[in-house]
Amino acid sequence: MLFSTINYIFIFLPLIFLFFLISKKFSNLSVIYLLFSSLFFYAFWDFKLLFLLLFSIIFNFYISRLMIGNSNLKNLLLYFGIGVNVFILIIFKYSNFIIENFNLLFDYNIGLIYLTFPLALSFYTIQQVAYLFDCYDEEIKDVKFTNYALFISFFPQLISGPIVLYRNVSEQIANLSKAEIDYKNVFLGILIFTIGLSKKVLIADSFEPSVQEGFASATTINYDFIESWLISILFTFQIYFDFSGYTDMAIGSALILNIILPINFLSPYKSTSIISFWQKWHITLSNFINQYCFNKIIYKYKLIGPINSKIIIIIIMTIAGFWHGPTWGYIIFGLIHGLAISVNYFWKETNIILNKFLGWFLTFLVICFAFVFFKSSSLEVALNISKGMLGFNGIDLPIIFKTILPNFLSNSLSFAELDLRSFNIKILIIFVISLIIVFCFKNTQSLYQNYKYKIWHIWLYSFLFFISILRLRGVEFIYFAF
Amino acid sequence: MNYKKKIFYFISLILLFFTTFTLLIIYTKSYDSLNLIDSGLYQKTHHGSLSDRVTKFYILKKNNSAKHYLLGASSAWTIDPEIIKKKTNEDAINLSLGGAKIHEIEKFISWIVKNKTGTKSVIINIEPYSFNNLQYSRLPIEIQDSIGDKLSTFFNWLVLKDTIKLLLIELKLIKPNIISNINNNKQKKYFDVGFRYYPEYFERKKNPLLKSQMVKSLSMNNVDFKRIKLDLKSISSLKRIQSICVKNNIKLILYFDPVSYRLLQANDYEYLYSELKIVKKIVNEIQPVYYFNNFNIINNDLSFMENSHHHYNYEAANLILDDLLDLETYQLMDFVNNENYNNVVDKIVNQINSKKLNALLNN
Repeated sequence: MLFSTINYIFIFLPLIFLFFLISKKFSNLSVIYLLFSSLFFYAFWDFKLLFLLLFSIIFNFYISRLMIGNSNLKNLLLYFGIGVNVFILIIFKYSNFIIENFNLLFDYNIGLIYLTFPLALSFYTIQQVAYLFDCYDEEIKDVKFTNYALFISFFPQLISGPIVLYRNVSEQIANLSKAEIDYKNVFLGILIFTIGLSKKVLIADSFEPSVQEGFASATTINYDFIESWLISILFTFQIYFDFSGYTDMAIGSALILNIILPINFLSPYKSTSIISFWQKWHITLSNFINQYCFNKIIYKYKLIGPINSKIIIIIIMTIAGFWHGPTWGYIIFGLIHGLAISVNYFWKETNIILNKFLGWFLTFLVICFAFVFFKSSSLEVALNISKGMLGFNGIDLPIIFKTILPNFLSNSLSFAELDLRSFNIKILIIFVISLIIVFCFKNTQSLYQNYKYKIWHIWLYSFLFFISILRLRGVEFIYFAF
Repeated sequence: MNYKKKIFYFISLILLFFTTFTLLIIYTKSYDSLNLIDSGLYQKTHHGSLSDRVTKFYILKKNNSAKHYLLGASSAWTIDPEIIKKKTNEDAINLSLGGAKIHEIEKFISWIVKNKTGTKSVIINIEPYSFNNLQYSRLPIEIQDSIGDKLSTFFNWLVLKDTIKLLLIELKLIKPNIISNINNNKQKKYFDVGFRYYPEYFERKKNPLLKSQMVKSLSMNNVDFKRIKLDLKSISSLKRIQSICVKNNIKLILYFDPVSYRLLQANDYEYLYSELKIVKKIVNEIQPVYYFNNFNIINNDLSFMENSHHHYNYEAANLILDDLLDLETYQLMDFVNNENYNNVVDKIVNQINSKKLNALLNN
């Protein structure tokens, strides 16, 4: 069940909330109730996949229990636990990528494996690996199985995050049955959910046809400079509104149930450096990379040093790119960001202060360029568009000018081939609105932290909700398949 | 004010919006396909209209004598139902839709079976795009069968737009489209049987230069076909269509639309490959089909196309219909069932000798 569907908005979420209120009247029932609701939510996609989720939860819980009570075998148990998690991820997500590249490299003909990809596998694997590390570091001591299972499977964050650490929610889950319902949270949860819904349905989904058309045609059309940047910028905005919209809906849904999830976005496109971008984009993934990959490797292997740390950043970001999916495009996406972060650190060491606007401009260019590799269905498509972005396919005037300019001029000028039928005046207006939202509006987090009620809020948000419902088209979230 | 009250007001306002909207829909009758057309909101044309589901449902609802129905994708817009009438002496209408999906065709057939009597045949044209699940345009509320589908069609952005426009027509703030309907008799005649009017075709017929320009443009432009994800629900939908027809004693003819040879060749015969995979599934699991992408004259001669590689013109449509109405002595198409499937693919492969298509024979 997608968050942006009638079933979720009008049936699942209200019923969950209603029974949650009832469950509060019985001691200790709230956790079990939310756990079963979350498992039902997951099983709604594919009942069979529930067994893998349950196995993963039980396996990691018992490994962590053994680790807590056995300091001699801690190391072994940690490696074993992480090994099994990564093995499951490789089998379900990366086996065909490995086989295809092996066949290509060594001219073999090993058959591909056709397995259904378990939804949310990448996300719940990361959460459990982080949990094992926390147990290893003795940050976690005594955890009830039901609390742990709810922490992993809690439906608002299960499918595409935000990636939650146990310490983010442990107290909230432990007090779930006892604490009174805070209706301010419920109200803000509804507002944040509405913001997320409108981001997804009114903005991100409006860009979808033009982005699809643009990337699909890149196999046959050599886009020029302007065309390729247009396509890339459109996707850059689409993914922001899609993913942050999803996260707002997740945070809003959880808040309705009085659970506060960590923030995931903090106006990332306003960043004036790529380091700052990763502190504001998919924050929970960045935190995971920083705490559980970068710091662990640096301190464990004593690799502290200006060059070593930058090499490790590049390697870790490349792996983080690969975490998104089994394609070379994702690997290159991570590599570009890893390189950019390293260059950014080198620059910082020079102590030369870059003009803020220039910093923002360069950061935004790198973001748009990297997203081309993220989105493209193949390397061929990505290279074709990136060639255009680098100016190798020349610069032509957009085709729209052909009809505007007088004949004698239009006959002598060169016009672009791109004729995105779906990119019309409506999309242009939505694009301008999204520019204003991205660069001039406060982010959802600041709404929550410093909320001051105004009477027109109810009118505005209820109207936004109403319009968003009318625009529901059931378009999947971009991060849905990760 | 406490937050419980704020939540209450928020929900009340949403209910107020929905109630107001519902009352406006009822007042303007924007749920009623007949009213949408008769009020002049939509033009009486099948030419590139996003509301073609509504217009096609309109003519279906109005016509009580049709015994034969043409359904499927927009390529069949040029098939003239009058030819069927001449052959069978019974009325026929063309209900083909832009980007028609199998599940939409199923809804039309279910409605026909429930609401019209004496249906004798249903001819469905298929293309690979019929099997994905992307929604191209909305279906009329009346044709939706489940309450969920009816509600989601009712509370929809497009209905809101129609409602506002109908209100504006009512308040005489905008003009309806009725005038343009009456002025063009040819367009009206075509409209009544669901037949698309292409004025460009008639201009090209008068002026051979225009025709050669179109052929030149089709022979030079970029052709791209991306492999589509086969939605298995569409296959189930086609199975249900077949069983509805068997149950109601309706003759069901399935045929695959001819496209230009350039589209067949695009991306290493990706179109042909995708289509033949679907053909294999249908002939194995449902029933035989008639196949027009065997490099016949329509595929090979770009002048049979109507400004695109997958829309054929009236002449091509007549040739297709000649074959489909005379299943004993057809000229262009191939009859494909699960026994001769390999032979048909073999014949096509021999013509093009493609490695990719050979794989279909070896699987």
